[in-house]
Amino acid sequence: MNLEKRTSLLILPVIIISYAMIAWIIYERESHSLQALEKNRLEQRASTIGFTFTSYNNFLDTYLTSLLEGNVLAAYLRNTNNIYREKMLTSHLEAAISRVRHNQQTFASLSIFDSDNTPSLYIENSTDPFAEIRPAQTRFAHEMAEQKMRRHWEHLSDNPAYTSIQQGIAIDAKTLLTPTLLQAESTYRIVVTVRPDKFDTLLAKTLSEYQAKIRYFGIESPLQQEPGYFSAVVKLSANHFLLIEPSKEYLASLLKQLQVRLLGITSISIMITFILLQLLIRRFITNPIVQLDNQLTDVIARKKDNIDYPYAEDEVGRLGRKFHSLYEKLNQAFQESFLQARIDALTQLPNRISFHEAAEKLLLDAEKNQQQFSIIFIDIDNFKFVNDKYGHEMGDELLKAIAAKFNHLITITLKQDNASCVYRLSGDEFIIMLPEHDSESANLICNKILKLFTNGFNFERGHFAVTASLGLACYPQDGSSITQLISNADLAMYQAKNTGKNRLAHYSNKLAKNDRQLKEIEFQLKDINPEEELSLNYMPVIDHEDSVKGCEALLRWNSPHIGPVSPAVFIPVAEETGVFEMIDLWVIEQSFKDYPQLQSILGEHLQVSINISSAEVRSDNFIYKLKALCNRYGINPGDFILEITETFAMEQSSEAIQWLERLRQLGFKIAIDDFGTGYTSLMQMVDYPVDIIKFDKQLVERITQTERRHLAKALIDLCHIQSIQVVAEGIETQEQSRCLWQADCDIQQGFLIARPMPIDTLKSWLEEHQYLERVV
Amino acid sequence: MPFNIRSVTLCFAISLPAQADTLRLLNWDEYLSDHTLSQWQAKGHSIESVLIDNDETRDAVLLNSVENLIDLAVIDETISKRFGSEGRLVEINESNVPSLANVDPFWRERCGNYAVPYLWGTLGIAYRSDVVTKPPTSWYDLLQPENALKGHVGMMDDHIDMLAPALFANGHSLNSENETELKQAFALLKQQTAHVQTYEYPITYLGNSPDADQLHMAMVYGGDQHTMNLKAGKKGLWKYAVPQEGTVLWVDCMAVTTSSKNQALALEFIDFINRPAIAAQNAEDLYFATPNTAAKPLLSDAFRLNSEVFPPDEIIHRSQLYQELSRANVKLRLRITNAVINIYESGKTH
Repeated sequence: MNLEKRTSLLILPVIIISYAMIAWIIYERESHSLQALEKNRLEQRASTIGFTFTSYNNFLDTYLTSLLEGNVLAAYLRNTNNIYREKMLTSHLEAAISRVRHNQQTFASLSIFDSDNTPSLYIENSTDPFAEIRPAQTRFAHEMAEQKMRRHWEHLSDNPAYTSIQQGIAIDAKTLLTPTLLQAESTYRIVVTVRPDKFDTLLAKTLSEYQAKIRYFGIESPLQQEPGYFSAVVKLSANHFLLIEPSKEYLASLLKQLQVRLLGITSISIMITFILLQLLIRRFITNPIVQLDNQLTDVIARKKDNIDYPYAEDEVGRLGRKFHSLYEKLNQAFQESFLQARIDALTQLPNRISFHEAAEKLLLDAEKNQQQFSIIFIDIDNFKFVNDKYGHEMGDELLKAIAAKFNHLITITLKQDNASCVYRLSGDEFIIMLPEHDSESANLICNKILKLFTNGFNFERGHFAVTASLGLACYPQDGSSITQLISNADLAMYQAKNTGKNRLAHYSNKLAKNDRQLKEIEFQLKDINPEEELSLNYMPVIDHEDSVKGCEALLRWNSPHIGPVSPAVFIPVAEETGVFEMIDLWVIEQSFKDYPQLQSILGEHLQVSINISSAEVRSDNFIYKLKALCNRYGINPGDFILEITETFAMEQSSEAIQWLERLRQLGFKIAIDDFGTGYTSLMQMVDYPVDIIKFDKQLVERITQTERRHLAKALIDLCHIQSIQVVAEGIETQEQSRCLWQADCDIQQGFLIARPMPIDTLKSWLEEHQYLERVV
Repeated sequence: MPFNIRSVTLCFAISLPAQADTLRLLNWDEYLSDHTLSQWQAKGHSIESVLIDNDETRDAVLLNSVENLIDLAVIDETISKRFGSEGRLVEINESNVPSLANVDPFWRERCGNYAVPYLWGTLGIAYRSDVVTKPPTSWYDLLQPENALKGHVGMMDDHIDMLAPALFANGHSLNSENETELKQAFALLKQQTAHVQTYEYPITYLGNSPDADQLHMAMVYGGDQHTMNLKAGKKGLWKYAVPQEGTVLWVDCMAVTTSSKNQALALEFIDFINRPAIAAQNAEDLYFATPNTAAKPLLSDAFRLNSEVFPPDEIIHRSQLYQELSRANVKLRLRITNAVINIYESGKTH
């Protein structure tokens, strides 16, 4: 039930009860005064009736007097020979009536009875010339004669609608005066009758109006009972009264009318009051609430930002204002948290959520306007190193600085400062979105970004050897959805990372193809059957005396599905996917198995080098399994060299050094592989607990150049000082070989000496090698 | 009519006393030729006329002739007989009025022994020839006039003659004593009241009423049309017709009252107007038929042969004569006429 209906239900009974009480009080008063009024009116009517009746009575008196006192009657009685004498009397009667009744045709008659009581004259005021004397008059005259009356008066009311008043007078036949002795033989009787038509009409009207009963009474016929309150008595003559008694229904019907009227007025009043109250309540009470409600609904439906500020000074206004301010605060809080969810707290750059929202919008715009845009995916190279080395606080500072630089650069380049285009996705990943940039113009910006990292990154807290790998994907050629574009830019960035970091890679189909191949490799690696698919090649190494000092076990993978795969390709995949340990252990076990055969071919003191993934560092499990294999195959760990790449050195820590130490304690020799590709300085390297350092092919090429030959000797000497053996890899020319031998290089390895080969071909190689040696 | 009585009485009071050689004549308007009058005056006498326009007034004046000093009166045949027998009139014969011998015995009988015939005529309908295109031929034309004439009809307030058209129209006797016949006559007259303009004697009405020119048809005594034309100032405007149902032959008589102080002179005047030349001149002047046989040859041919004045025999044959009515009948007829007038009056007021 809404407020409006409820107020209606509340006020309606109150109004009805109030008005009903008022109506009841009014009815009580009105019914009393109505009865009094009606009584009054009836009495007035009765007095009018009486007055009317009296006027007829007076007429009779006056007429009789004029008849007797003038000479009219005398002229009639004496002028017996005038044929017009009756007409004269008629005219006299008519004139008399006319004077009283103002030309109204009122019946009146005059009759004269002789001394012997025979009617000698009858005239009447009517339009019926053939009318005859009425029996009532004859009877009346007889009564007079019999009772010897001088005067007689009578009101005939047998027919209430047609009453008549008769008055008779006796006169002396000779003197025409009132007789002294009432002797029948000398007395005339003059009888005048008048019909009190006005009285009759008024009475009839009264009777029908009041539905009344009437009763004539006098001394001869008194009333049986006292008349009621609502009745009236009319005095018609000294001894002739008329009682008018209205019926009970008359008053009842008047009261009924009063009731109906009051009921009607009350009902209308109730309706009007109700409607007015409802309108007022709606206007001033419910409507503001309903309005507030509607506005709240709109606010909830997000059609409005907030309700209209209410200024009303009432409760609803205050409620509205309170709600307004409450919502304002809530909304502010919401907006803040909304923003916070989209702003990276550290760098103050918009975050991944924000990026997705903006990117979707940009995509829609671009689709609509047929525009291009580009996405640059940036990953900071070697950031983990900074974190590990300088702590997370410094790492955060670095990220902040990088973010600020990116933002600054993009703002300047795009010449826009309102819309941010740089987003931090997570950790050291950033994305830059370039609206309306194709791959060419985006390329320029990428180069500017790369320039920020020339010689590492500088900011107020210092210099850091971090670089950036950038992946670029452009809409529409590199993807039609944001997910696709991000994943492609990401792919390109990995490509940049994989191809040496600190560079830009465009996303391309080739890249995608490589990626797919890597995916395939990854897939096949998971289901690899090492016995079937993996095999080991051995690459012999020689010392200064050209005698074979050992060989390096090199892993070969021939997948039944994708054919031979280079270790350079699948080893990083294996490291990423975690199968490297299994592979490393397989290589170690296979080497252990092959060792006796290798000894038989290459000599008793053969040393076999085995590459282990730098990901093994710190793995207790690896050491435990390695131990188990040593025991199982009963080998002498001193015959084996475990090689680990230089990148390991980047991540060196006391833990890693401890772990290496544990390997050495098992008896294994430790070699740093591929030295020269990374940034590790030899000075650092020599501090590590290693037995051998392997110069990689590039380093070998560099130090064997004529002008740098003194470097080779110095490097090698440095290693020797630290009791570290030096192995030179990638020896391809006699010059290199000779040069390094001169620099006291301990061992050489390379295609000049031997290619990696299956164990079966080692014997023939050795024979060929010894033959050549002998020849040379 | 009481007012008339009073006004006439008043008129007498002013004119008193009369001169010894002046005769006071109770007469209808325009009912004595100026020629006659001047010739009489030439003899050194004079006549003072007292004019009446209805029988009731006439009777009232005559019944009071002592006070009213009436010497001579023009009366109708019934009154002359009644008043004669009551001794109110001087008996007249050829000894006191020698010229009576000139008078037609038929008419002398109608007037009886106390009066001499003066003029006679019929009862008929006068109509405005310029308005009424179709001359009336029946009493019904008067009783139930066509629409154009409704409200333009004149009747007479006379207890005998007012009933005449109705009785004639119903084919009854003018002197009917039959109450049923009278009731039928009353019914017709009652109906007629709605169309009646006046019950005043037409000549009086034409002389007095401002609505005189609205009167287009009226019951008159034959010869009245002449006076009406005089009043209207237009000769031949009013024409006279006797309806086919019949009429009454009336005669007016002249009598000398016994109360007259100038009876000799009065008788001399009666003798004077019955001289043939005087009678002829008087009749022709007044446009009525004369009962004087000796005068007839002296009339102009045109007048003598005028059928309006001397009705043709067929009308005479269809004509009735007045008879003396019983007192009860007179009383009833008076009541009837009174009722008709009352109905007319009340119809006019409402």
